[in-house]
Amino acid sequence: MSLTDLYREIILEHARHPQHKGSLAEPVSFQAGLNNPTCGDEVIVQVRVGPGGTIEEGKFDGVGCSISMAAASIMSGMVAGRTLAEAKQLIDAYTAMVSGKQAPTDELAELAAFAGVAQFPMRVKCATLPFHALQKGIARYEEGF
Amino acid sequence: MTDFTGVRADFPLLSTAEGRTLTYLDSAATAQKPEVVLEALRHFYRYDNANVYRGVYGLAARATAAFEAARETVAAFIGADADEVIFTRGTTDAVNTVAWAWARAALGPGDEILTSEAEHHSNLVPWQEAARAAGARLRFVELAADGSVQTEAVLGALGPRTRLVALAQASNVLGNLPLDVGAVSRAAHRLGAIVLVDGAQSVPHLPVDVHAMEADFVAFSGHKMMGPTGIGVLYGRREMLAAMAPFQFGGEMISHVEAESATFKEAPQKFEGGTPPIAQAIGLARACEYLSGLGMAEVAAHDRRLGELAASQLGEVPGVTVYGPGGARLGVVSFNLEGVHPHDVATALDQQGICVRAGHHCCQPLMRRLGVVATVRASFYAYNSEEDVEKLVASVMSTMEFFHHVAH
Repeated sequence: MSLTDLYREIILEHARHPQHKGSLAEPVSFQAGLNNPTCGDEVIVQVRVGPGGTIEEGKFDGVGCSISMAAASIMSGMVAGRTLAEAKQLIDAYTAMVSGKQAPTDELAELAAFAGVAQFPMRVKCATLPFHALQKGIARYEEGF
Repeated sequence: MTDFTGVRADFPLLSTAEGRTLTYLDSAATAQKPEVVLEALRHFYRYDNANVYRGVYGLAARATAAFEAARETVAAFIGADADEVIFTRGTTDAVNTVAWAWARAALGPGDEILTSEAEHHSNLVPWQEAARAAGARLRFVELAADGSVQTEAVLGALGPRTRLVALAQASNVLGNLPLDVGAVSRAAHRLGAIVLVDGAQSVPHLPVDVHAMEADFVAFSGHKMMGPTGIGVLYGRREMLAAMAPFQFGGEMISHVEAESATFKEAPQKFEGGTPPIAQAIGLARACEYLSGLGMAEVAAHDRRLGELAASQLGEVPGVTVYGPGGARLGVVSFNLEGVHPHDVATALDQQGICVRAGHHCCQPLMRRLGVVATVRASFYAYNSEEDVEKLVASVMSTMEFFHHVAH
């Protein structure tokens, strides 16, 4: 176990130069924020859903460590073009991987870089923070808020 | 002069195969335990375990005697009398005891509680709740530029409506020199206010004499001073404790119970409802004896020296910001690496065997004042050495290198 198992190059790159960061242009279908009370990290995820129920665009904003910010950056790009059901599947596969319950699957693509998080139990919450925010947003959206 | 080089060997956790490689710099969160404390716990459970106060058999008498002897040892350690020492679960429980047993009865609309934005949440949130319940108001001491609470600022902030001053003697974040509690107490008493001292970071690291500093209440935790978890102390001036009604009711704290009413024991027992943490009190007393053996003045000097060394050396690393005072300080050093989140720093240091805390340290208002989300914190104790400081500084430099250069 070494530092580079956790901080893969792609993670450091996204942490330094996050993509899809900032406010999503209207219309915004849903947004959800979460914070990690132990470290003060905050992330807000905004999503626009198209007429066919497919996500058109996702953006995030917030402050946090390399892991949470890189996860938010990559996640926000990957949700575009997916249905809400597919996005939920992605969340499940990713959270299973970073908590060490499942090996990376093909659909995780770039997110497979976070597989090393499983060896750092104290950092799982960082890696899942944006995904839990997205999950919360989808749940609210589907309940009709 | 105490020689601290052998101290580390007294701590079993730091002497295992894994422990020998550890640089433990998180004593402000919790301290490691010396063998003598572990042995005291084991000895009590193996030879003396019984409930206290009630049994008439010899074993119960022995347990009760050991528990009360522990109270005397802890009292002597802080310059108090035994009947002024209430065993609590920790600092938080001790502060809450005053918030509910004293503040609820003593405070009313218009009264003011003087505290600060640099307090640990456990010495802030109970007062927010107590003030809300009583219709009282919180007032905050103006912080110095480095975020610290300075004695002069406290004296200047005391007002005619101040009923309670609730402040930490030593910060768990900044490492600034301790508050002059004696000066604050004397000024507060002239105005008819009382003083509660959060001693969580001072009692483990500094010689503290509660009578000399004239505080009305002092709260602290056992686990931060090499004792077990689950035990803490509320020191209360005898007259204060006598005037306060209990707020937790049950076994052990009663004098006489009828079906519809009850009378209560005197302090400290009236504040110790239920079976107390007996083994933990005995373990804490042993920790006090261990610290006294090292000499608290010498522990304080040792911790300060390491804190000052770490602060000055970290301050020279390009891109590192050290918070708190320059120059003289205590053994707590908060810092940040430019462009690297504290959590990433803590993970990187952990990979090099260094245990530091990263986060807001239960001081969210202070973090806002410092303009940061979180900091990295290294804190030193008797088992640390200059070698630990060197290792920390070298690892901070390689961490900076990793996050700023490796990926490019």
